[in-house]
This record gives sequence, structure tokens and C-alpha cells, in this order.
Amino acid sequence: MNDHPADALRLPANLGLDQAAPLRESLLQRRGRPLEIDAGEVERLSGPCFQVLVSARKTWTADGQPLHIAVSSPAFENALALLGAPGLEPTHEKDVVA
Amino acid sequence: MDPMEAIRVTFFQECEELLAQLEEGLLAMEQGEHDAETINSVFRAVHSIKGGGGAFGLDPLVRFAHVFENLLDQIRGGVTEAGHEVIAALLRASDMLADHVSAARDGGTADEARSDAIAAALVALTEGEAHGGDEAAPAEFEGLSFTPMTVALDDEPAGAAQAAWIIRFKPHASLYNKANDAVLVLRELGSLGRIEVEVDAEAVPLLDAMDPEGAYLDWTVRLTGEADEAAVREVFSFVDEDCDLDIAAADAAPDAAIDLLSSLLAIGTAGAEAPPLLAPAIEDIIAAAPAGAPGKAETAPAKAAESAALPAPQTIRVDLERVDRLINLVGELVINQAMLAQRVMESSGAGQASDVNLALADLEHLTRGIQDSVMAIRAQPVKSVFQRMPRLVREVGEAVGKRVRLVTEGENTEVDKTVVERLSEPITHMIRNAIDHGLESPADREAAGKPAEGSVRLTAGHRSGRIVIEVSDDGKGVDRARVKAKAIEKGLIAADAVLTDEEIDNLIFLPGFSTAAAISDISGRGVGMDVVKKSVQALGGRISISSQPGQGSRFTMSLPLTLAVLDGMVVSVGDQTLVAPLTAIVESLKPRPEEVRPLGPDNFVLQIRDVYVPLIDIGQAMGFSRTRVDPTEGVALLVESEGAGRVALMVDNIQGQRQVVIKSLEANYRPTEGVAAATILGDGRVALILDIDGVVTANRRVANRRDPPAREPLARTGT
Repeated sequence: MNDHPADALRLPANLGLDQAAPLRESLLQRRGRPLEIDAGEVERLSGPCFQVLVSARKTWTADGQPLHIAVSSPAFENALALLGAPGLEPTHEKDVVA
Repeated sequence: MDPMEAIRVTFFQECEELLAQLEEGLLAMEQGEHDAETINSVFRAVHSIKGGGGAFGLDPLVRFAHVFENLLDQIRGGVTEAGHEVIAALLRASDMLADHVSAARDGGTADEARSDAIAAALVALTEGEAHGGDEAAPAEFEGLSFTPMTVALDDEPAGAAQAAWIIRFKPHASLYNKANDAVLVLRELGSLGRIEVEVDAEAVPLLDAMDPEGAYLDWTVRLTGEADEAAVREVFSFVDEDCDLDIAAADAAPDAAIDLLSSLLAIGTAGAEAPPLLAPAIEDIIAAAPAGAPGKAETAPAKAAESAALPAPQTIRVDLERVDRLINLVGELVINQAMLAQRVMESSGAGQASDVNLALADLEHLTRGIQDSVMAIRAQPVKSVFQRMPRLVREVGEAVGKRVRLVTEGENTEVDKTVVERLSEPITHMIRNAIDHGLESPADREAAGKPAEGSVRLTAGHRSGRIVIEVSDDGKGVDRARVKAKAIEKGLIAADAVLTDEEIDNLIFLPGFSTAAAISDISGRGVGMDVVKKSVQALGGRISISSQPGQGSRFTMSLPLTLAVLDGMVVSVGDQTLVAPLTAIVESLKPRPEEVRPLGPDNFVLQIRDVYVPLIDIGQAMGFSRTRVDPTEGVALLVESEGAGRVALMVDNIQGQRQVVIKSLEANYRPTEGVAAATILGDGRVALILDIDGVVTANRRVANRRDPPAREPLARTGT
């Protein structure tokens, strides 16, 4: 996958609830080309933004284009794990809080 | 009020509700309902009280609740059987917990000796079973340690008393619109224990077809930890309207969803070795989703329906003052609307401005609708009062050594909050009275061929615009000979008085009357049924008794549903306008000369069909006019009165029927005999609202003084 000349998208630090629409826009602009996502600065990932990323993944797959995440921040990985997207260590080790 | 204090107040308000829920659940269990939902609701109630108590550092309460909860947890886990003895202990514990809550609220301390004794009994029940199990759980009751005491899953060792929950959570778009986030919900779930999250991304469309504000994901979370269902639900308390939610206890055997989950997790772990890549991860989700989806797609609607079937009533807490202000304003609106209607009628004349009249009719309709809705805000089920009674019955029964079963009916009957609040005292007293005086001792009951356990029934229902509350027992009934002897001894009646059974029964309502041979803690202390009668009357109600020797007595209270508005018949008497409560009026008629018969020098009776009823001239009775209205020129209102049966009230004429807003005369002027309250009419004038019973009673008194023998025949004609 990494052999393709890829378009790059750096995700903003705050992927809050209101960022889903802009995120979708910026992804749509890059449609049809290989995409490399830089999630190294992400500090927050909201449910709607996660949905957009999932949809982007589907879209790129449907287009037969590669999409991958080149860099990801711990917060981003944590959020993905919490949201049930595998590929990261799930939050198994969390202590039980009574 | 500082914020902490406000939270504290809310906590105690919630405690009240939780305690009620607890008692309700326990009573259901006593009746043989051992389904998981009942037991869980009981457990949740204690658990929530404990949780809140812990937050406020209410250590004695928390310690007690903890022991309580342990036993409940065993019952829930099927380790301990909820037999009669256990339920009795649980009921005592719920009373004690209520004491702890009130002690904490009022800054006092609960009866520690009693608390310790009950806690010890609970521990004994808990341990007794635990020792019988595979492994004796250590008894740790000190402090706040929430040591699991039970083996929740039969095939797991005692150390693993962890509940597992499968939570299916599908946010709606509204969840995000309300600024909630699935991530936060999941994170909070994660704080309850170990979570394994699976996401179903099947429904996510391609980017161009996607609404960024939509909701397409469906999560399944397996939560392992000590959290109970309430704690899990709590996580969703802000979002439960905005998502499909299904919380189920996980079975021991992993189902297909978990298989899928673990395969996803396996992929996840594998992926973690390489630099984290979303791409393969999401591909896997997409690939895996159809495999898991068909089964879920089938169950999803069923689950949604299931959760819809158990709706938590959505409520808000509103400062009562605000509601009252609203009610007052609506009252003013009603008056204003009436005034407007009257002005229009006066200025337009008959036949004109029919459009305006139609609009006014609509306005009246609307006004009434608003008023009903506002009154409904204040309406509360009598449940809150009824729920306090089982405990009273247990305690009074224990104190007097009688076995009593309380049967309640109609606890969802709604009535105005002010009425509800003031119901507690008379009902409490009537129930005490029923147990103490009405029911016989178990030995006497058996001798009389009755079950040793006495029964007291408390029922509520709506009847013709009033709420009727009855307290009945299956005891010995009123001992009329003794009541009469006592009344004579106390000088309440003449020694040679001839009284009907009903009149003897009603003697117990006389001030200073008490038949208890020895003044007991329960219903003695000089507080008699006269106090009950007074408090009922103060609510605009009536109370009566009927009794069958050997079969029991029945007290019937009839109260207005609201103290704020009244449907009334507006009548003229002399130069005054009066309002007669519509609920009391049976019919109105114009008497014919031959139907009016004199009875003695000052009294008249009116023949209505084949009965004679006393005819009371309101103008004279109230002192508005000195001369008697010619009965054939006025209108007679046939009313139902308490005690005297039907009576005809003479008025000059009827103006119409209207809903009036009650303005207290006591509060704004002073109590006046024969007048229940006042109201403001459409033209701005004040009109008095008749207290029918007051008028009739006063008239009877006057008649009795004048002419004692006349009373009996008059009273009888009413039947």
C-alpha cells in the first residue's frame, strides 16, 4: 500500500462532535486517490467523526484505493479501542471501579 | 441553598422514592413474586441508597445498607431462598433503612441497638447460606468495602462474583444533536469494569451518501465487573431516550456475538504488532459485520420493543412554588375569561356578535383545558401515603400482639398534592384505630371462627368528582352497647336517648370519646376519631362509618380532588349571589304549592316524588333575609348532605353553572359557618361558596333546639 503516491490528510487535534461535517468534506475532496491519514495530533475523537472515518474506509475500499493511517496519537488509538475498532490494545487493563 | 445542599436534598428526595420502591418490591416478593425484575428492583433500591449515602459520608447508613445488600445479592443469585422468614427480616431491614435515611436527613442517629440487631440477623441469614455453599465467603462488614458475598454464577468459584452484562447500544442521531457522545458513554462503561467493545459498522454508508450528523453505528459491549444493572443503566441515564439500548446479563456460555467479538479481538491483537493501521481494522469490521448482522438484525426490533415496554417515566422536579404560581395565574385567567364573557354578553345583547360568542366558547374550552392540565401537574397518586401504611400496620400489629394483613387498592388514584399531604394523618389514625379497636386478638378471632390473621383494607377511588378513601377491617365491629354506655357516662348523650345503630356508630366521632379501656400507645393519648373528622372536614371532606357486628367496620372518607377549583351552581338569594358545589346537588326543581307541607311552626318539608325532605330556606338560614321565600316562587336544590341524607335548599333563582376558583375565606377573612370559601365572579363581585353540610347541620341544630321530636321523622325521610 505504501508504494502508491498518496495524498495526505492531517487530522486536527479536536475531532469533536461538530467536526464530522468538515472532516467528511476534506475526505470527500481527496476521494479517488490513495490517502494517508496523519492522526498524530488527535487528542479527541468523537463518535460522529469516527463514523466519518469508518465511512471513508468503506468508500476508499469501494473505490479500490488504499487508505491508511500513517501516524496516530495515543489518544486516537485509545478512542479507537474504546469504540471497538480493533487494531489497538483494548482497554482491558482498566481497573474496576466500584 | 448551596449546590451541595441542593444535591443532598435531591438525594433524600430520591431516597424516599427508592425506599418506596424497596418496600413495594419486598411486599411483592411477600406475595410470591420472585421474578428477577422484582428482586433486582429491590436490590437496586438498596444499592442506590448505599451509593448516595457513601457520597455523603453517611457511614452508619452505608454499613447497614451494605449488609442488607449482601443478603439481597444472595437472594438475587439464587443462593438464599426468599422464604417467609427471610422476607420478614428484609421488611424489618427496609424499615430500619428508612430510619437510617431519616436520621441522616435530620442530622440525628438511628436506633443503633436496633440497627445492629437487624444487621446481625441479616448477616446470620447471609452467612448461614454462604457456609452451606461451596466456599464460605469471608464476612467483611466493616467499613465500605464492597466485598462480594455471593456466588452469582453457579459454575464459578466464589472469588469471581462478577456480573457480566451484554449491552447493546445504538445511538440515534438525536444523541449527538444533544451534544452527547457515544465515546463518552463507552468510556463511562469502561469505568465500571472490564469492557470488550464490538462495533457493527454495517449501516455506515459511503462518504457521499453519509449524513455527518447521522448515527449509523451499533455497539455491543461486554462488561465484566461488579457493576449491577442499575449502575449500567445509570451510564445511559442522559442518553436513554436517544438510543436503542438493551442490557442483558451475559450467559455463561459465550454466544455468537462474543465469538465474533473474540475473533475481532484476535485480529486486533495481531494488528497491534505492526504500526497501528485503521485500514485493515476497518476492513475487518466491514467483513465481519455481515456475519454477525443477520442474527442481530432479527433481534434488534424485538429488543427495541422490549425496552419500549419498560419505559422509565420521564419526570422533572419542579419547585412547588412555581406550580402554585402557575395555578394562581390560571385561576386569574379563569376569572378574567368569565369577566370577558360577561362583558361581551352585556354589551352585545342577544343574537349579536355570534362570532365573538363562539370565540369566547372556544376560549372557555381552552381555559378549562389549561386549568385541568395545570391541576394535573399537582395531582399525585395517593400511593405516597398508602406506601407508608404497611410499616405502620407491621408496627402497630406487633405492638398490640395482633396479626394483621394490609390490603391496599387504588393507590394510583390521583388527587391534588395538598390533599395527598393531608391524607396521611387521618388514614394513619383510622388504620391504627382499626387494628387497635377493630380487630380482635388472634385467640378471639379463632374462637369466632375467623382466620387468626386480621385484615385491614385501604382503598381509594374516584367517585363523582371526589376521591373516596375507605379503611375497613374484618374485626368485631362497633360494640354499640359499650359505645352508648360510654357516651352516657361521658355525658355526651342523655341516658334515655333513643338512637339508631347508625347514630350510635357515629358517636365515636364526638370530641372526647374513646372506647379503649386502657389508653394505649397506639390510639390513645386523647386523640380520637373526632380529630380525624376535623382533619377530614378541614379538607372539605366527609367521613362516615358503617359497621356490622362481628364482621367489621368501614370508615369512608370522601374528599374533593382539588382545593383550588370547583364546579358550582351559581344561585341568587336575596341580594346575594352564592355558589353551591355541583357535586352535592342531585337535582333542582320548582316546587308546586301542594308539594310543600308545613311541619311544626317554622319548618317545611318538600314532597319529591314519594318522599318528604326537609326544606331549608338558605336566605333565612344564612341570615340574608328575615322573611321566608315563598317556596313556590323560588327554586329548590335537592342536595345530598352528610348525616341528614337529602335536603332541599330554597333559593330565589339559579343563574347558571360555572367553574369557580376557590379563594379561602379562612385565610383571607375568618371561618364562617355555612360558608366553605369564596370566589370571584365574572363581574368582579365576591360570592360565597356554600358549605352544604354546614348549612344543613346548623339548621338541624336550630330545629332540634326548637323542636326536638321533629328531628327523627325529618332525618328518616331522606332515605
